[in-house]
Amino acid sequence: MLRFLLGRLANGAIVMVLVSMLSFALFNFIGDPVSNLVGENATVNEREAMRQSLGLDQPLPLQYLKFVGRAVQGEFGVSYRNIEPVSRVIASRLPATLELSLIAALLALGVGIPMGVYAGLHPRSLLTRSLQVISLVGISVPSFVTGIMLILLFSIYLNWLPSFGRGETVMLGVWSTGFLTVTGWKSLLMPAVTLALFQLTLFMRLTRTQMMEVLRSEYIKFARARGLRERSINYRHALRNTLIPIITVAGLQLGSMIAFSIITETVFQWPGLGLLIIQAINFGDVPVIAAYLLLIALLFVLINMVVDLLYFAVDPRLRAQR
Amino acid sequence: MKISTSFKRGAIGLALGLAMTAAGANTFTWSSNLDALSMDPHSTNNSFTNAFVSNIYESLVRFNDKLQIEPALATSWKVVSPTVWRFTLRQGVKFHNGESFDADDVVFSWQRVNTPGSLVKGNLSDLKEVRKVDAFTVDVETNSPLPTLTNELVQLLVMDKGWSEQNRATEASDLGRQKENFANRNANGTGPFKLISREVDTRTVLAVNPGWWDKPKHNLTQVMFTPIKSDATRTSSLISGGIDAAINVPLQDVQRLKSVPTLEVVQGPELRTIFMGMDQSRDELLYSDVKGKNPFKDVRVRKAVYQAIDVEALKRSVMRGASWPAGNLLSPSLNGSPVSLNKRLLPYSPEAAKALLAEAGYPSGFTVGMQCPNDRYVYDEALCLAMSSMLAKVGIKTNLMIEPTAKWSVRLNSNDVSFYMVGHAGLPMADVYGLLKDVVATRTGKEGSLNAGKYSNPKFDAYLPQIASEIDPAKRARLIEEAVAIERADVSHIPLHQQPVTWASRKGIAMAQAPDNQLRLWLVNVAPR
Repeated sequence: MLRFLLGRLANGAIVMVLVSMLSFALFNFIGDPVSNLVGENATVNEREAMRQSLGLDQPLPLQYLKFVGRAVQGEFGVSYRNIEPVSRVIASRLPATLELSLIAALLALGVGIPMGVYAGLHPRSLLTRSLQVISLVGISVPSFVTGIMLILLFSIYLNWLPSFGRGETVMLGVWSTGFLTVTGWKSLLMPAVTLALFQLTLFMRLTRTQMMEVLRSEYIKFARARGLRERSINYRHALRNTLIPIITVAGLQLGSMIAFSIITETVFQWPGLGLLIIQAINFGDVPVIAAYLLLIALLFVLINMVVDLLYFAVDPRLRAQR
Repeated sequence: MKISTSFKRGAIGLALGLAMTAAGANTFTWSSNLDALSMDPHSTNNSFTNAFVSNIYESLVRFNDKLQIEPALATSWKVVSPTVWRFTLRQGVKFHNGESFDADDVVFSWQRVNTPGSLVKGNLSDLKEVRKVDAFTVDVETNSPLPTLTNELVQLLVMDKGWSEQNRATEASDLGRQKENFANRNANGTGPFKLISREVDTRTVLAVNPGWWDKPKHNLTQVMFTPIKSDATRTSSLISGGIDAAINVPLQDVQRLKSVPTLEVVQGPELRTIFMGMDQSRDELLYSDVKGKNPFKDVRVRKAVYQAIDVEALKRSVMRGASWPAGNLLSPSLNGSPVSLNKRLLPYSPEAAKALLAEAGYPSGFTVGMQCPNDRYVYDEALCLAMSSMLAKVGIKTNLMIEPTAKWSVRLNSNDVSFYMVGHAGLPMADVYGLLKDVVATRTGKEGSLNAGKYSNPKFDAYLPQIASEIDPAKRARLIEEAVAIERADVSHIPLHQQPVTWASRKGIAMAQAPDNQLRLWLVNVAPR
């Protein structure tokens, strides 16, 4: 178990190094922050002085080593766009994204899996068929369209929900939460649905297929032959065995919800990491982009590790082998 | 535990419900596509940020919505010698924290502008020194006689010396040294509004400064600024009433907004003129099929391109009628603009263009790369696409190189261009000199920073220092006219148009739109709903 963990950690470290190198190589292509900083009326000399003071005139490998040197000490520098320390910028945006992803994930799993179980148990029912059709829509409509449609319906026509922002937030220590206010929940609703819709339909379809497959297997037949109650067969035996692939996918999808909530956050001006990174890219805010990419890489490494550990909990065969 | 409140709608409804308890409590919620970068008046040089903090900090003088100079922290000034101006400061002015304003604060702010991290020092580079004469008098010395001193001084926003020292903010934030500064997220000015709270990219709240020295023309008590990046979301927030007003409204939404009975759209020409530049220095044009020579060095080719572009058609079909075709690079609203030259040099005529090209030795035209930004100017990309097909009619094939601003600006800075779109607003001084210096002057370390095509005419260059230092307005106007005539005859650039400033608001809000696209909150009036 310990060896397994250490192996995973080593893999993770290699991934992090690779990601950081790749992201630095990309900075060549996002353009120059200097023009955004000094303004359009700056002279050639002023631009050059700025470039030098930021160290952008140095060769890329050297810039990279300097960045790694600082990053190892937990120092990511100052955002070019807001002049705030990068660690503070990211820490102040993290709660918004995590709360949004959490609710979206709960929605996706909490609605998607039961729907999938139902569809797997009653493959021919009318409800299942209509769910299938609806889920096709959910999986094929891009999230910015979903977002805009929701805004059109609930903000413009009905005027029930705010079209942007997080509403009122409450500071719990360093964590700003929108969970404690009415406007916070109202603001959360549409972004969460937008972000969850794709995953929800994905989980539903995945659960359904897995469930149908497991229900056809020998041990289920055997359980039936033993005369176990239908409920026990469906939920204790069948569902449990469908969970392994679902956990894998759920882990990866949760990571991508946090990492790629960019579109949803942009549509709803949700002040999280997604909105931050898109603005950082537009501005050429290199310190923020670098730190963000590292953070996301770390997140994926950690999530995958947790997923591997969850296998142990769910699948007794894995424990038996060791 | 701190609760940041945002119950504008509810609060206003409630206030009306509770009759007169909150009478006159006008909250104004407005939006733009981007947030101000910093609250520090000296740490960044970004038009929107400068405009935003001008509601909190003030200078000795200020612009009104017609871009005329008004007294602010100075009550009067006189020219003592050609390079020294004496400013009498306003007495009894208090900063938001209650400290009194005097000459020490002005001198301190001038010193702070010149600290290493400051990015506005370039805007004040013609100033040599600011000296205290007595508690309410300062002398401003310039490097050479400077007719536009007051326009330049608008950028010298005054901070409180005591407050800055107390909070260790005596220097502007220095990105090179990776230091944040207290003044980045906190503010203490003398202006009409004081900063209450700031959450970057979310919400910045200002409240009226009850002790402001000026008699307010506005009737606001609280101002909430919420940037919304997505155009569609910003427009729908206007329609649903989530915000009261927005600047930088996308042109494609204007019709939609006008159709909403509760909203109104205000449009006018911006100071910014959009024009096309051409590489006139390389011996072989980049991104072209012409080898061994550079067609743009020939004025006939530049004239051909000029006559091949139909600015009226651009206005009609790309700009949805909202552009002001330009006769030269200088908006008529700029100080000193040669209005008599604001007519097209040559008419639109594809035939004449073809003839000129044939005369110059390109009877069947040529191919050239066209560098355009896609998120910098109003409809920049669409304009380039339209011009591309206009040019094709006279035989000039363009390879469109459309890129985001961050990439396009690298090209401009490094002269990696052949035929490119660029614009200039003449800000922050709102005077013709800045634009002529940045765009038309021969490129050196200090001049011609946006002259990516390296147009160079020594006769024009000789006029620049005279325009910079001629005090007599009539003489200066003549110099400007002569200089612009040279540049125009050379077709140094091809002017297209002044792009629109588009603002929208709930009906009954007077926003005092100005051609510099800056919202002056101290001129905003909100009608009771």
